[in-house]
Amino acid sequence: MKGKFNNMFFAFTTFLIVLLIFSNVENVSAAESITKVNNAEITDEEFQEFKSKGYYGEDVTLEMLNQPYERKSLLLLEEKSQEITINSLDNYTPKAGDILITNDTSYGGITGHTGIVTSSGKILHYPNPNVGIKHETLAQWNARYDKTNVWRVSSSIIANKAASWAYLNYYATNSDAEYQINTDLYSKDPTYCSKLVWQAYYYGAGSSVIDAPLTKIVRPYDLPAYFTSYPNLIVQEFIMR
Amino acid sequence: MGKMKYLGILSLVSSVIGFVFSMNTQSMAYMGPNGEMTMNWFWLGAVLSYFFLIIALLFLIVLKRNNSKLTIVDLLFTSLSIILIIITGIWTTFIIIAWQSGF
Repeated sequence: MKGKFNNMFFAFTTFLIVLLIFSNVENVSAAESITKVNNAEITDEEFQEFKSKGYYGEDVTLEMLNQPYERKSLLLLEEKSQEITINSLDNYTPKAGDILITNDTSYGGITGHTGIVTSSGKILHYPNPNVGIKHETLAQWNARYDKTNVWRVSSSIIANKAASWAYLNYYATNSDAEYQINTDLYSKDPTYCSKLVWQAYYYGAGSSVIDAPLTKIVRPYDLPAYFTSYPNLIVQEFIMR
Repeated sequence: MGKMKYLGILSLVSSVIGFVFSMNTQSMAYMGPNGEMTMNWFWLGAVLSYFFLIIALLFLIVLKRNNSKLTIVDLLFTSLSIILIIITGIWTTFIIIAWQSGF
């Protein structure tokens, strides 16, 4: 009887240990993580500095970047939805906030890869831990990833805010963030390619713009589908081949 | 209590170790000098993860072949072990693919 009880106790303890390991996979709580993330508000000084370096286009103003996001404007955007497909790289001009998704990766593109266009027209992405975070031209991107789908957010205000957030939080600072895939969506370090893009919209444009995946792992191919509250917000798809 | 009784426990212990290595493979990559990223540590974590997964599987196979009568505790151990083996295998493989191709 005593032996049976010991066995049961041992089994129960083991079960608890396994349960604890599972629950600790997400080792940083969302509440703690959110406080780590910088606000997307850009100061005049930062704006002038980045503009002088050519990171922002001529049409981008500080007011545009810091304009508060309003739900109402999104609802209006839904009525303007359209879809355009262009089958040539020559016809594509990168615009701040564009989401590039490619299946031109190893292992048959099973995982895919993604990046976001910053205000300078370059693409910010985290290809893999060996090369770190990259801020490359379209030609450089295309040399590596031949087949790419481009998703454009119809609101330039939202797109610009996401692009600026990505640049400020993953290139101007934090460019040495570790590469790691985990279920912590809200911390900036460690990170991975699709989490970087997801956070750009989540923190840069507002948490109501993009939803969090149930699995807590952002998949590159699913990024457009995370705009579930406003599915028509992403209205244009360009295909580069 | 025969020797076979311990196989379930050994399988569970091996699978737990494999699972821990699987979950920490990515962190291990940053165990280089001054916290630098080095793929050697990454691969070590991945290989150890698969190694303990295989050991856990072997214990289960031996247990099954002996046709010994399993108690509820043995069943609990083997069930947990199987769950951990599956998770470890899937996660480690996914991590290797993602790290090689970008994600």
